[in-house]
Amino acid sequence: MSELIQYRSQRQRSDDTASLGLLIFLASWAMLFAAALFAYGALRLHAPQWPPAGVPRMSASLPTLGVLSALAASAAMELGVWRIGRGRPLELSAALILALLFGLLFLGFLVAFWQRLELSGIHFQSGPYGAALHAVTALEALHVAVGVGAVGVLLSRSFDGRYSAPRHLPVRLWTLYWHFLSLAWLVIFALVFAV
Amino acid sequence: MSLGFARRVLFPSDHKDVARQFFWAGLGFLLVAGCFAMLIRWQLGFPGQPVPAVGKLLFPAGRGEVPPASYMKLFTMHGVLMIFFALSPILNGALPVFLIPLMIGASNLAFPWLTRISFWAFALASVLALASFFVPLGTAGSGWTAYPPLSSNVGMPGAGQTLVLVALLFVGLSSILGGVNTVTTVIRSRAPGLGYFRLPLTVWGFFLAAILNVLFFPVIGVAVLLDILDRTLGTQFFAAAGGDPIAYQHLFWIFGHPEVYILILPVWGIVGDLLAFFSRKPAFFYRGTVMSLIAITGLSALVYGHHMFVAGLSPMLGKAFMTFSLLISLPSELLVLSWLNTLWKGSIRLTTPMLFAMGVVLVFAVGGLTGIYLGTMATDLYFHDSMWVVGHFHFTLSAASLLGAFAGIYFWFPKMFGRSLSEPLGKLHFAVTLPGVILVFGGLLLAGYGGQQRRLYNPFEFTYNQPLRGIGVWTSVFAFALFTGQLVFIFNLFRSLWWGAPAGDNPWQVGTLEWSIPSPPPQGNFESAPRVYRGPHELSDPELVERLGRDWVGQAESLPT
Repeated sequence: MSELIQYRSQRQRSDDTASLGLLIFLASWAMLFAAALFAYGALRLHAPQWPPAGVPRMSASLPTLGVLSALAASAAMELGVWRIGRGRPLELSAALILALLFGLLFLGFLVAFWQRLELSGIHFQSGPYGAALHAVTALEALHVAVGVGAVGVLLSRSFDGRYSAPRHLPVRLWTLYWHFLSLAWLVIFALVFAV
Repeated sequence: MSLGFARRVLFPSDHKDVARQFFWAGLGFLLVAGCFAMLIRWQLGFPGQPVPAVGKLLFPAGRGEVPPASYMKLFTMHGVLMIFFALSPILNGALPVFLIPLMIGASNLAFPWLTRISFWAFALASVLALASFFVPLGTAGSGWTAYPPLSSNVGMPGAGQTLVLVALLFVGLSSILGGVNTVTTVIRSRAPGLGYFRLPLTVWGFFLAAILNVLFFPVIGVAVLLDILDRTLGTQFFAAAGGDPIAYQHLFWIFGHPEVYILILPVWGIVGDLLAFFSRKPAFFYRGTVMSLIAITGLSALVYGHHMFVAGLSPMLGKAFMTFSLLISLPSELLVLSWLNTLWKGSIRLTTPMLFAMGVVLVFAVGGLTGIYLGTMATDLYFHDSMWVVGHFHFTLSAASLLGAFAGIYFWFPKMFGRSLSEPLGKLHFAVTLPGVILVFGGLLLAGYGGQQRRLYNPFEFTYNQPLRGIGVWTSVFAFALFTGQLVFIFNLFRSLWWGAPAGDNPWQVGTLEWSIPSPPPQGNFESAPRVYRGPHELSDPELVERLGRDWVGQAESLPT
């Protein structure tokens, strides 16, 4: 029987523990996003009109570009994990640069979106519509900013040659985090901008 | 104070050190929040009269009576401190952080650095909550639920309310990180042979409570964060005009109902183990008990609407919430029946932890039964916002959790500090505490049944409440007696800490893993990972008694061949 059980080294076991810990933490954070969207839904359903009378409906073009860049960043991270798993640190760095660019692009689209909101007269303090739109996008943007910062650190460490095929746990963990961000933005997009 | 000591306090690497920090912090806040309860009871028993001895000191403006605004702050912070700063750090901090690695045969929690951050977040929250008392206009005063618009800038101006809300954010962070650590540890770090159905029930209680912590604290985080934005940045999420104050109630209770299970699940686990240990027989229907705990954990997420029957909830939705709420009584019943069957024909040892555990069964039964009237829409319309509600949740949330925490403290104190608490003093403490909680919280139920609303500054200003004055006075007298009785515990705690008899490895003669190592356990706990052969309560097994000459056997004890 025992020869059937695949041997896992101490390092692999502690890597698995770290991944599980992050997964549980992300389940918790998913509830944070869910609660924020619940509040958004409550405000929206409570309002007699959404958007309120006289306020233009925001175009979904910038958020759509956001979806694309978030998915691209996610894919780039996954590519990096795959390449470093094959022992190609240079290709990991290239993938991380891509992820960094797409992450910054996402933030850029959100900043542009906020500018467009300001131009349309929809401010954070101008009632629940503006507050809700700003809050859900800012929630995502803050998390993406953390993700971008992390990719930056990963990148500099990958230049230092810290990651190899057996040792690249941080890359895998932050990839999981990026997938979470992409998924969160997809759900936000569907509930806030698509309907 | 040496540098090594400071490092051990600030950067403890051992889970047992962090657990002791949670332990003392929790007990400290228990005392503070208990003092608040005494001031509340003074006002409800003897409204408008100067508080004896400390009145002039605490409320210098008048003759020493509790002013109305201070009364609101007192009941608010009594609730906030008891729930988030006293019971939670003991039942979800100190005990699980200390016990889980010991009970599953691990050297530490899965992420020791997370244990530290979890306590730091709690410590920061404590500082913020305490600081809120010293800012202009004082601390929070909108009830522990902090419903807007009462908790808005208009209802509760001043920095105190904001500070308490921020403190709640950090308490939440502490609970989430602690929960992630607990869940991961139980899944990943169990000793070889220790399957899920060989875990002590205590670990099951901690595990399920941690899952609820992880999943539901973010929800109150959002509610509190949006309320803070409303207060500080002038948004209108919960403003009556334009915003939606009811949205806050939804978010609060999506978290709030699981929160009561976060506090009671560890207690249920502890009670299940202690009843078995001190009946000297295996827990009756262990698997059924575990399944009930899991079922209750699941259902607890589906019932929050019963807190909002009178908030304009659709009656259709109300019916669904009512059904789920009443469904919880089925697994709860199974729990209580398993406990009673565990006691049945056992050779019962009435030690202090056992007495407290049996007390939990009693007060939880009363608390559960009084809740049926609140979970039913038709009766809740009348009981809502009455002292009945206060009595109900004091029986379940407060009395049961408190007695359970005491049971746990009396039972594991020897393992935590290497010395035993005094049994006679413990029994005296129990003899005051159990009748105390029943009389005090029973008084709340009676007042509510008589029609007295909760949170009134002076209920007897209203003619219809005047017949209840006697109940108010007696409840207060019993409350003062209950509080005085706790001095026995404080004395016992410090006496035993310094002069208590050395406990030995296994003072209670039971077989779970934590009792197979020295008290207190060394850094790293086990010399080598134990190999587990059996479940947690293999007591009085005739074959084992014959072979070992004693009625208990260690979970990791290999038998002589």
